[in-house]
Amino acid sequence: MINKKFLFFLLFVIVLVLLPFFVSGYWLRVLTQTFLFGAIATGSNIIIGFTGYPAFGNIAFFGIGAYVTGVLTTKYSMPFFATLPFCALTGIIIASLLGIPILRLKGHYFAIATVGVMEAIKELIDNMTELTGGGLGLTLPIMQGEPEYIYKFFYFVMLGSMLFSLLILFIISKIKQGYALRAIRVDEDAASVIGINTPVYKTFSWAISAGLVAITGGIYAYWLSYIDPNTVFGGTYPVKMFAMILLGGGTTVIGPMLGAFILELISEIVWSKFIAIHGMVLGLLIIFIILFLPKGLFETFKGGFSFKKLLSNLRENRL
Amino acid sequence: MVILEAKNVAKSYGGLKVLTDVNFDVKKGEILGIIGPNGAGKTTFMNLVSRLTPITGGVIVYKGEIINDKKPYEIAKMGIARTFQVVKPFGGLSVLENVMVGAFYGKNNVSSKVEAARIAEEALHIVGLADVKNKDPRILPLAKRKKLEVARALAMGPELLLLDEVMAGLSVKELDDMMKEIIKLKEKGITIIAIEHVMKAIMGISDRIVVLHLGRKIAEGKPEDIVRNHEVIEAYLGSKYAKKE
Amino acid sequence: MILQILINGILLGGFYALIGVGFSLVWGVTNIINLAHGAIALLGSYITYYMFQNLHLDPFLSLPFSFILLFIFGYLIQRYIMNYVVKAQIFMLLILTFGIEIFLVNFMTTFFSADFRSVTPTYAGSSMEFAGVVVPYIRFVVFVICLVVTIIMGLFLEKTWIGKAIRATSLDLEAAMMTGISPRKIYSLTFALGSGLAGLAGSLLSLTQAFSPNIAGGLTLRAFIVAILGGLGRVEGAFLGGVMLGIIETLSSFYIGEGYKNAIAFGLMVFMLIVKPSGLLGRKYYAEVKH
Repeated sequence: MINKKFLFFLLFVIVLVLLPFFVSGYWLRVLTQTFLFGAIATGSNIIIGFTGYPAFGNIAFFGIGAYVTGVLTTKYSMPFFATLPFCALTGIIIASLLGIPILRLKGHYFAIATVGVMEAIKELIDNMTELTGGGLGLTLPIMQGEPEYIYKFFYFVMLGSMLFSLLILFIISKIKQGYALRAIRVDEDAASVIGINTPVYKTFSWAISAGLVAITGGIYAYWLSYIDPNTVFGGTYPVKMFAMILLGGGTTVIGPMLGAFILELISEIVWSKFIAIHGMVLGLLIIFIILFLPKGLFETFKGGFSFKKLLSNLRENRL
Repeated sequence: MVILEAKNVAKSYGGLKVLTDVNFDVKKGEILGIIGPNGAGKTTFMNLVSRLTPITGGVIVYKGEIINDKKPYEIAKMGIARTFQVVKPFGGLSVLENVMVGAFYGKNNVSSKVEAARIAEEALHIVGLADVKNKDPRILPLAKRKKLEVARALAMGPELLLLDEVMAGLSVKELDDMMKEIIKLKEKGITIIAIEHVMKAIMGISDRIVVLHLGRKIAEGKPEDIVRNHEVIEAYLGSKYAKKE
Repeated sequence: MILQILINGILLGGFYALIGVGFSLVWGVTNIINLAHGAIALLGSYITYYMFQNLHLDPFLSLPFSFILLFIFGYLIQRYIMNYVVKAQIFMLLILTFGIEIFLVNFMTTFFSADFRSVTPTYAGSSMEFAGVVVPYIRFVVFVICLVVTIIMGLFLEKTWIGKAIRATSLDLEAAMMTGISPRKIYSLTFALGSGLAGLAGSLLSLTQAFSPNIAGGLTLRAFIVAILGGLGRVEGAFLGGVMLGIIETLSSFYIGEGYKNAIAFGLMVFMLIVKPSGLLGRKYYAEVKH
């Protein structure tokens, strides 16, 4: 089923694959970071955009993945790639267990509970100083090789993670279970009377999200070679992830990725030019997105760009 | 043959008694109408059967099995389907895909998309929505969205269909249409319990009627008898209009 | 020993109650979970700090300024930003307030620096002692202020016309509208109150511990837990919840260790959400039932 959209996407991927041979290390790093967010946003979208459960604290699994790789490579000398399945598995198991009590909550209760999960796990890891290095952080074995090679290596691995997340989201959108998740998002009661076992499906959705995000976390840890609880749990990641999903549209497969590209590239430009106020600009950007683009860029400007549409978005949810 | 029995069914929310001592049977293949003034407990009863809320007293028996402790999705797999008063189509899915969800997860429980699509198309055809199958359901007018609800329930392959005020808000012509469709469903062998306020419609299609008032059953019988029942009239219009026979 | 811990817990709890009351009120009435609450409180801390540093104003005298300034600030935010998104999906509001938090925290870091500050007037170190328990004067006064403010808030909501209007709005928005209450004004007023109270709490915070923009999140978290424990919009509940949190926190710090404070607090909160979501004293409010 070849159609225009798919061709564009293919072209886009090909460009990305060829890029490292033409651009500098700086841009490779920026893009690798962008892929990171693309992967996180896409993976998290399974539970957030598709199933309608705003797992604001999903970054918890990013941190978990980072530490799984961190611990396995340092304490058990495991080769990097071998750690990734463990990251996924840990994410899946923890989400499944936590899902039992927490998925019973709805809307913002659920959102805050997931933030609670994130903070609690952060604290626990902070305290397991023997295993994780606690607040001092964990230093991973540095990869051997030429810097050129290393940049490219992580570029492709991160790209791979993002594409893998996209693939999983795509598959879910096409299979029977994807229909069930979307039904749950719209009306959980209606979904359950149709015959969908909602608790199981919600858990399944969160577990997959967790697994994907955990893998990305593992890659991040190896990339940076140093992690500590403050950087991998929280910070601006949760809100950026959410803003990206919103911007690009949570009901589509590539929406979150597009949101990630746009937001990350804007962030990078702002950061490089206006380092001091970069944080404030991010805050303002988010406020702007919520006020004027709550349905996402593409949904809002479907028929063409106009300021009017921005204003009407503003008035729509007005008290 | 009796497909559903309500025996001393009661429902309270804390101290508030919504349903008390409701007893009636539903015969296989009939259309049973449940009517009653607002607040009578009709939708609550439907929520009990579809297990969206716990039953606090009595039992509900479906095909000889007590269903008090079943989960909603188990009820669906047993062959009970329901529509909702406020229609919420699953956005992001086309009309056809919406109905396919029913085929996937209802009693039909199919795994293949092809099979689900086939069942969905058939259901859409029965309710007359075949021409909009690829459209976004959120742009459909009310009457068509109600039909979508029915189609989705149909695709589940139910033996018992619960309709919750499916006639509300329809124009005269749309009402006629819907009534004909419900009779078609009966002809397919599906038992139907319908909650309604639109009298012409419910009296026109029901084989029997149960009247609830303030949580209790106050009358049961054929439509023509119910209309003359003085307790029913009193419940709806006040004692001034009720004439003792 | 345990008495000392309990007293410490209660004193801390009073502060948590104050930080929680404003948050809980806003949440209960407008259904907005204000993630910027902690940051707004910190603005109050900085106001007190700079007034102390530059104007040599006794910190307790800066309280009215803090309250009024942040009251106005909160009003403006609600009126010109939040009111535009109130009817949207709930987690949109969450992100919005988070965006505001990010902005405020970065603003404070940029202009006030990330260094830890505290306000230490001359009477800072002294304390009183009875029954073997040491009670620092400042903490005691802070507790009393928190208690008094909570009582005033409770009376305000209960007895005054505006207070009743606020409660009416939280119980049933449509009905309140039909009696002529303007939801826009009530929402703005409520948020303003919440911010003012946050500012007050922040000012008091500056006297009891060191602060920096980075503790904003932790403050909001505490406010959130207090709101859940006490029941949304319930002033008395917030006070109880605050004290409960204070006691549990000091107890767990002592017996289990400093590092698990957050985990235990969260565990408590999640437990509460599952077992009795309406809180220790709460009933279901409009905000809660609506969605």
